Amino acid sequence: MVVFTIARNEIRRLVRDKVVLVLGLVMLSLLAVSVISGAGYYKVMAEQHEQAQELARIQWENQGEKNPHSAAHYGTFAFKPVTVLSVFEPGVDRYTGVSLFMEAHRQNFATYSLAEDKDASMRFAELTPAFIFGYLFPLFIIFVGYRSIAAEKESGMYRFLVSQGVSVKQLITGKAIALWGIIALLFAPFFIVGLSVLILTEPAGNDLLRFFGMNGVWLLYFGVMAHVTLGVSALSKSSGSAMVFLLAFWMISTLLVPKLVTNFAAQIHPVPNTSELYQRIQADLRGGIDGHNPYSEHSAAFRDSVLAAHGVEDVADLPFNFSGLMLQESEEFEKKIYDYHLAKIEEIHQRQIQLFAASSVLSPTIATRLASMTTAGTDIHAFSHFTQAAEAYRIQLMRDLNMDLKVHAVGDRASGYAVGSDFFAENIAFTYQRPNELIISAGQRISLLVTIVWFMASLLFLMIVSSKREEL
Amino acid sequence: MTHHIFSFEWRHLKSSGLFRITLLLLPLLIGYSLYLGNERVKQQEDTIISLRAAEASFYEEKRQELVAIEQGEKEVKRWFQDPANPLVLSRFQGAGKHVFLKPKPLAALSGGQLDILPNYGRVTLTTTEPLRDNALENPFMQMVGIFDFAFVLVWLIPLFVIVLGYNMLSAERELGTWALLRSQPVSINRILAYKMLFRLLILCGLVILSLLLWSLLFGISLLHADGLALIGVILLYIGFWFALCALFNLFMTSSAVNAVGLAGFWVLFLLLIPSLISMLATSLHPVPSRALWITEQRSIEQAVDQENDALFDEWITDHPEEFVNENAPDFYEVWFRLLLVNEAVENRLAEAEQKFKEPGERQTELVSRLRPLSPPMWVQSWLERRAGTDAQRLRTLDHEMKAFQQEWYDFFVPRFRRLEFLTSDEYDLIPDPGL
Repeated sequence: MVVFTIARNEIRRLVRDKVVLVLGLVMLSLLAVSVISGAGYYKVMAEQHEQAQELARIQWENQGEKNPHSAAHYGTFAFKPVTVLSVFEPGVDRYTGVSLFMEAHRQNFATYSLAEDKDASMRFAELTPAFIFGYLFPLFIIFVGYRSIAAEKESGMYRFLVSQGVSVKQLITGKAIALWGIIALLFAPFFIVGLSVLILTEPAGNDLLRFFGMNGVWLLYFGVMAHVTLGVSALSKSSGSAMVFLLAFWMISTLLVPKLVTNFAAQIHPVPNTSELYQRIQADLRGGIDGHNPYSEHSAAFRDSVLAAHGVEDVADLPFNFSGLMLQESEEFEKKIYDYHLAKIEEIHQRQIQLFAASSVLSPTIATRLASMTTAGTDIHAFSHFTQAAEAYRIQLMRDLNMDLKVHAVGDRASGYAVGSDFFAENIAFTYQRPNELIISAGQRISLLVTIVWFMASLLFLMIVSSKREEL
Repeated sequence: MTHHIFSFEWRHLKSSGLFRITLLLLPLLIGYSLYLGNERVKQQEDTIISLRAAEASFYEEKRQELVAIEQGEKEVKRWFQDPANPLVLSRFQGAGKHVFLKPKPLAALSGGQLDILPNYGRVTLTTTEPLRDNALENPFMQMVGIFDFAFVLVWLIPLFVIVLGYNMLSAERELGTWALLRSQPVSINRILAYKMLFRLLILCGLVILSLLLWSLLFGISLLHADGLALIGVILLYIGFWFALCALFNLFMTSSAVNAVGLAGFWVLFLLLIPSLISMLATSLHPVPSRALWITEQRSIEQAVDQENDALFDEWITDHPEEFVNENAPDFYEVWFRLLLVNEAVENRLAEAEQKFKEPGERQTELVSRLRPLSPPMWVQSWLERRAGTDAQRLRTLDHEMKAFQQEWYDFFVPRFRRLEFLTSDEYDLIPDPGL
């Protein structure tokens, strides 16, 4: 019961503290503004992407009469889906391209990231719940909690309480309950508003589950900050030194380690520059069939093998259009080369992410940010899932086009063969399904685990501090 | 008196763990940021050198080939391999030139927006392709941003100032030495001023000395107007934060409240005001998704393509003297039409793209008006501008490329239209964007 009395008194003290009240109101207002403005922006973006995807399809179907392979070069676009969860946790969304051009013979990178068009002030700080929870809320927890035990020592209340038979454990537990109470008081309205926004925008797939997961991650993070704050407050001789130590912890966790580690990771696992990558791809492509050059060594060898298999001497005598077959053959070869090189880039990105995750041992903020992006589906893995889906679509579309050429451009129809809007309307359309699973890669699991480990470790730290003998 | 206060302060600081950490950590952070910055600039310079060399060797090879043809030692096999053909020299594989936004003298100190905006591009007769070496970078890195001297100065140094200055006087009160100080024949304000000055000198000295020594080690020159201005900005910025500390020490009661208040100002200037400004700019001038631009681009291309014949006829009617009717090679009319279509597409695209670029430009205008509200934002922006890595400069790349493309076009297209092929001597006249 003593614990609850301490907690009740502490909550009463904090609620009556004007600074805490003002800071709490500022937090709530910022959260409200960020959710409302984010939701409005999301709505516009989602509409624009849907509109663009529809228009791209109309353009594809109405590209006019042409050879299927010319259509393959004309290509089409896949637009990155916009998820309502990016209102809460935009993750890397601003930094990945919104559009992917899909054409014959090559895999392109997504282009036009939002960051390229927006003003650079966004990079200073962007008002989103993820930013508020990642940077400001921990500071709020520190501001609210740094004095909770240190000030009792300074005022002499600590001695008094201990002499009254209150144990350190009871004192710290009471203070912890009070701090959690304040956190809950501010978090609950956000959670309710967030959930309402989510429900109003008709969440797709497992968005609700993702929302709960993301909030769970943030609560774990707040727990870490609250426990560390109380532990440090209990160990410090004065509230001033507790404050300075906690600020240093916050600075290392949110500012220093993330910046140092990401830049360090880029040095340890460097990605090749774009022209280097294309040179390597071009070099490898020369080692296989070139669908547009029947005279190349590999193309000629392929043609001879096909002619021999069908027992004819001229491609015109084949029962199908040889160009169609050769274009498909080269497409598959080119895909292998691109897949190989792009997988290497992805592997480097993975290694970098692993290094970030490993460094989260020094920074709970990195672990939390990675975990919240994972649960929100706005991390680099989610983006790769989209680009892979687009690539699967591209290769299927190219196959359909080349096969049409192969099967139908035969005999008299071979010369000047063209297809029109009826054919294009029958081509498969790109529809993207977000993954059903919250975790789609082993790399994502690490950050979630580290977040949980941080939470457990902070709890353990607080328990150890609580079990210390009373020092008067 | 000054000597006394300074020597007491030095003894006091020497015994502080936080001061010792600052003394060790700050030079290391500055050193690492400059090392990374220097590597970044070296890479930029290497790219410029290697691309310029590749361009030079392409045109030199073609010139030698043309000389051999002119002397009758070699023959042109196919029209698209003819080193005298303006199209071959301006549009086909390997042709074209690179336009660079060269690193400025302070480039190593601030990475700015270099990780998201291109800093060079390739121009040919029909294309302008913006490029950046780090396009394959992990987007998480872009989210976190570049670790550079600007980050150390703008974000971290104020925290070190707060650590050194939050309890300049309040600690005296808490330690009970306040009364002793007041009994001295010197005013408290004077003592505070000297204490502040001493800590200010120590921190400024540490930052500037580290900056100079590391710069010397990495070969970054600061001996120019911008370098001197930088020293001034560093002094002003650190001075600003120390002045805030002094204000708190004069008016506040306890060290803890000072620490909270100063940290609050740090949050206000570095997180709150920038995020509110950014949100305001985004809400007032929302940038439409480029997804719409992509489809609009395609619609324009399709529309112009359908006007191909009309464009051609109109042009021939208006400029009959600039079309070679007789004995023109097969490729002539095909490429003549293609260039006309391309020109029309480019003109219409430029008009249509304005509505995608404009909101971003308006955001920038608004932000630059509001920036003085946050001194850190101002310092960051100042450093980026002096380093030439600010968004405004990087966004001029597009304009620079288009301007050079016009020059390129004016040189090659009239020659192509009149079917006047180049001689080897005329190679020297081929435009170059320079550096």
